[in-house]
Amino acid sequence: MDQLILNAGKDTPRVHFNHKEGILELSGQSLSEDASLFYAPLLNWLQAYVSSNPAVTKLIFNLSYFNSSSAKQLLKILYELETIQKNGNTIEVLWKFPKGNSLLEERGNELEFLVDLPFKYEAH
Amino acid sequence: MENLISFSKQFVNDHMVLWYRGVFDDNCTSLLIDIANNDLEKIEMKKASGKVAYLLAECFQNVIRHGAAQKNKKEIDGFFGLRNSNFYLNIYSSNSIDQHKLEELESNLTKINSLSKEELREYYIKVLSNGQFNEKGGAGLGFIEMARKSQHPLQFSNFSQNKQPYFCLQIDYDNAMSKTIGIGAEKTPIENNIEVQQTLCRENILMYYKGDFSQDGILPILTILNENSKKLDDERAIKLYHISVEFLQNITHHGKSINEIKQGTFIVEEKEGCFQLTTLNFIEHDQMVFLKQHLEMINLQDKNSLKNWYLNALKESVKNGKNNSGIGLIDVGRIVEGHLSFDFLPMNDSILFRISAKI
Repeated sequence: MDQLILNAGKDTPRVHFNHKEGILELSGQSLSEDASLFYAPLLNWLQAYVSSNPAVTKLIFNLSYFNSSSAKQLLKILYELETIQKNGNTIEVLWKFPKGNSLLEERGNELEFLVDLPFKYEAH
Repeated sequence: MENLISFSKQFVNDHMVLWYRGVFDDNCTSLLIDIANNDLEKIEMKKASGKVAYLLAECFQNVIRHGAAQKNKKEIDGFFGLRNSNFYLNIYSSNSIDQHKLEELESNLTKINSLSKEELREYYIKVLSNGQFNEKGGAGLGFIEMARKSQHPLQFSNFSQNKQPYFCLQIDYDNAMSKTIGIGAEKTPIENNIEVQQTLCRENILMYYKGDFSQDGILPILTILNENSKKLDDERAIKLYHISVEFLQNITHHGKSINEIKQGTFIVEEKEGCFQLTTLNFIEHDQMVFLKQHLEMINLQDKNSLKNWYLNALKESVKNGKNNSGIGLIDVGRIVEGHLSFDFLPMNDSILFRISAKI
């Protein structure tokens, strides 16, 4: 499989999914009016990635903002990656947020509450 | 609601309206050009010409150039307006100014308005070659170019508030409609727009936007809002931005299209230490029942129940593919100050929906 690299758009985040290193990163803003259109190819890629049975995965959310339409897609990503852990492989979620942005930190806590994955937090 | 609706009635024939009081810098200039471009592209099926972009930039930058910074404040006390009506695009700006500069400007503008097209060209070359630049880099060249490019006399006036003089300028530019059928149509007098400005200032309205609520239309509005909220503390700025995104995209998703444009109005007010965000848009009768019940339910819940509702709705929408319509408003309900305020007003064959949130 190939890497999935997309530059940030005016309302979409930068995507850097590297299957060789097992590092999957989303950064920037995510506020598409219909986020499912943007995230559909990302979820397809992730399905293929999960099927490849990766030993170690680090998912990095480095978002400065996401709307409610994107929240649903972020949860879909997390559900997709839960399979990795169920298969006995290692996965870690790193939730980065701008220092002082307690709302974004809280949104990370909420997503963590909805899934069975280990989260780490980093204010920057 | 009555006040906002009666105030908005005066813009009923305008396809797009933007009134703005806030940060004036180069970034905002280009965002305003984006807003005008998007609107003109939708209405007239083409991007704003280079002339319009020039006039917008000059008018906006005029506030920066001539606006006297208020005592003890770094910001420029300015005001900017844009109206695209049936026949003309009105570009309006107003700024506080020193009395001696006001007299100089008005005398310069009176001269410019008295000149014919050819005389304006000659005057432009004369000023350019004489190099009579003032300390801010201008020599009245900007005004001469505005008059040449708009092909209409520049409307100007002034008023005083708390002994501070304000200079007001209005450029009228023929839009596509005017060019085809509206030649000689009556222009909006600058006095009308001065009255709008004074009402907006009295009511502490920082931004008033009526226009296209497609994603392309709302992005520059959100960016301007973001630029302006930098002076707020982080938490308020983030909440203000998030509620604005959800409110504006609510119109993008559910607003009724008028002439194939998702039309609505977005208003930002500052009152009693709070910001109030309001949207107005038309919806269909059958949308009202769900929306009313949904909003009433949101207002009945405390913040903790809203959080649980939001998380359950989010989970259900992903796990079971349930429709997550209204999830954005639940999210807004979690972060507003107090309750969401809303109204439904039947109007002809539609319902005018208003929603407001305080931060």
